[in-house]
Amino acid sequence: MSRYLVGIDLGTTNCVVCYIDKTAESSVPILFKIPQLSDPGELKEEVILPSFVYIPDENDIPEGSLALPWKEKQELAVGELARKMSPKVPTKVVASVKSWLCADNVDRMSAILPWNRNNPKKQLSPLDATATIIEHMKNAWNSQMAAEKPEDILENQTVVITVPASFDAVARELTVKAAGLAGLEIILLEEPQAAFYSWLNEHGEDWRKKVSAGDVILVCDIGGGTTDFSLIKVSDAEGNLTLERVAVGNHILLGGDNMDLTLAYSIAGKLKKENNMVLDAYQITGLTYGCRRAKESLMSDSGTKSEKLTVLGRGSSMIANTISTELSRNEVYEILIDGFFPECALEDKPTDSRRAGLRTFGLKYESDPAITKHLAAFLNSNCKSEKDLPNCILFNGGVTKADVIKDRIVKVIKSWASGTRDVKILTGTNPDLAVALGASCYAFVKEGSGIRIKAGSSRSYYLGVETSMPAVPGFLPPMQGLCVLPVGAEEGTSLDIDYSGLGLIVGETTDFHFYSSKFKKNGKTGSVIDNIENSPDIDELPSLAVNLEPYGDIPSGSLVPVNLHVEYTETGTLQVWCIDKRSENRWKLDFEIRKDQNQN
Amino acid sequence: MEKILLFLTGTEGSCGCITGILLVVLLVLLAALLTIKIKRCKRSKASSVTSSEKASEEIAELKSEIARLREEKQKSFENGSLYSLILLQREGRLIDFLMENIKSYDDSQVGAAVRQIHSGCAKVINEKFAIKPLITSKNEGETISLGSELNSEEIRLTGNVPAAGPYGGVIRHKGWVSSKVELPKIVNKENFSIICQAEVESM
Repeated sequence: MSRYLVGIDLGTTNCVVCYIDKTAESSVPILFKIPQLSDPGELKEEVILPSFVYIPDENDIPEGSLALPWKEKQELAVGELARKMSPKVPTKVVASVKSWLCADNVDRMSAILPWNRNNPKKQLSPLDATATIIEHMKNAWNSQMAAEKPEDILENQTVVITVPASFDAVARELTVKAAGLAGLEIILLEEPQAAFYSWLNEHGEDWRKKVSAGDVILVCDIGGGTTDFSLIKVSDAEGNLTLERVAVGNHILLGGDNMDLTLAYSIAGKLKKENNMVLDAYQITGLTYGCRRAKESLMSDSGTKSEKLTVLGRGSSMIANTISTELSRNEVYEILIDGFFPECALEDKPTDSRRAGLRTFGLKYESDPAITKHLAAFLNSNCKSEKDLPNCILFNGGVTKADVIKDRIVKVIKSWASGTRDVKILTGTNPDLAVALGASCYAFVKEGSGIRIKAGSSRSYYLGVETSMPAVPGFLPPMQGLCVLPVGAEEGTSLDIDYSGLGLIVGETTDFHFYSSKFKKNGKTGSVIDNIENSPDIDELPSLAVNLEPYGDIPSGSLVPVNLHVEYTETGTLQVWCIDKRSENRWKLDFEIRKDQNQN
Repeated sequence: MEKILLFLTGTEGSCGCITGILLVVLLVLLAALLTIKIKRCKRSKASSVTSSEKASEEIAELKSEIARLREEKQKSFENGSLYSLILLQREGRLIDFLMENIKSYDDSQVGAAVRQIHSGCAKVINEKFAIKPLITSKNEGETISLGSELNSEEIRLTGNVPAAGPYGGVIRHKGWVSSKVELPKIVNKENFSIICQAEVESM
């Protein structure tokens, strides 16, 4: 039995670690301060570990200045130093690695980060970069918490890592793999759920008074780089309130960082127009920080009408090159509230201007910044009627500290329910840290204390099976989708599927097309969707492959009839196995992630 | 690894303190050792020349050890002072400001820059040194009575000061005290004289 229940928020821009000590009297989660370099040669302990990896070249920093208490020879740095270096040397710093981990348009196993560096020796794969960040947290923990008690090393603890609810089976698998590379066995939890567990924990048994049966709770998590939605339904089961996560949103690459940048660029535009002043990249960075501060102060204090913004000159003749301007409350409201949270109809969809024939690879940033439209699309596709629309909201993420933003979102949702439903805000106290706190609470719940949100798989998964039909030149036979895991299948589920005619060829690599959908398309294991490639709301994942060595007296090239065995593991990952009908042999199907790039 | 963690000045586990304590302990030890040595020398007048030579060698070694520790203490004091400058420059551009000739700028230009410098430097002062007033019970300009027991390190009496207490008077300055020093641990950094690196941008 582990002593600690550890929750890790593996964020797009920041990571947070917290823990519950089972030997302590109180089961309140405690934040762990992570030692990290703040500057070359300087070590600081902070609750937040920025999710950045700095990979310098030989002469970039003094020799030995990346040393850490647990490792003297280091060739990279994770955390504050890396975050600081990011705008200065963008091609040497890995940023937003989590978004790369779920980017299916790149090879997530090859050394491509930092993007645009073109030096594979100084680059990491999204998988390795994630592992590097996790490893930093592990080493930090081991040097702080287990220096005298080797049994308390993180490897021995129950560790929950949070992922966006939108992460599909591949991104989940990669997260588990990355943790594995760092030496950790983990359990996955969706971030909006984690935020909700933190809220539950804060209210203890009182939560039952805050919500009632029939309520639909929207968890609206707007982080630095991503926005994530989930719906949780409250029901009554024989007098007891139960919670079920009924829908999750898409991965939306849009967050607080976009807002700060938008403010900065709008100020830069104003300076150009009014003073004919053109800012360089350094000044834009300075302006962005200034805008963040000004935004926070203008949004939190209604007494302030405007904030002064100053960007000091870059060189040592600082005053001569200082730029000074002002950001007014009205500007912030206009740019942020109307730009990112415009009033819109439930039927509105985010505009997708990504139709251009040529597009650079890289992260799929959202082309429509209107978070409310993304929310409309999410609710419109998951709520059949007005009574399915949320009547409670739990906000999470730094952006949602601003009341004006919360008010706007509430107003918009109310308008969608044509004023018939009131929308209540559930207040969480720690929008920056709730995900990590909730993750450790989840570990506690998993051990049997407190209410658990019924969740399970957020998607259905389908295996592509070629239909037999007479060959028609130029036409591929249509693909049938065999449902291997329905939406809502709970962790720890294992299923056997006897699908007649399924066979593996011995001695060759066999590929299976693999699909997923977030909707209850055809919600039973073993059921079939015809022509799955052309069905709406279906995403194709990297194919699943298995290489079956000839065995026994079965000659190469012959067909082995198999059954399928599917496991949705306690960790939260999906495993598909082929089981020989005639013997006890079984083979695991693995994602062919490396092939991705060729498909594009 | 512990060895290369060189601490800067600070209240908790700081280098100044540790070396200070070490120094005192070492001096006491040395004094004890020296007395023993001298006593021994006196006692064994017949002892060979080599043993007395050996003793004086040891004494010289210990003396140089003391000198080395003194030097180290001085060095860490110097490094700590330089590090404060590094911090004020890094967060608040204070050195840039002080090194610039501000005569040619008008007040509004200087004012605009100062706002930023002020917020950066204030951050350092608050976060790293937690500076607070020494007198908090009353404001400047108000009268305060201090009793007879006085910590003259904290409070300086001026004006028509009586030879003995009770003391009191008008608060002219409330004083400042740093209630903690929270500096990063220094890993592998020796040169503190570079306050701000020169920067060359590749185009």
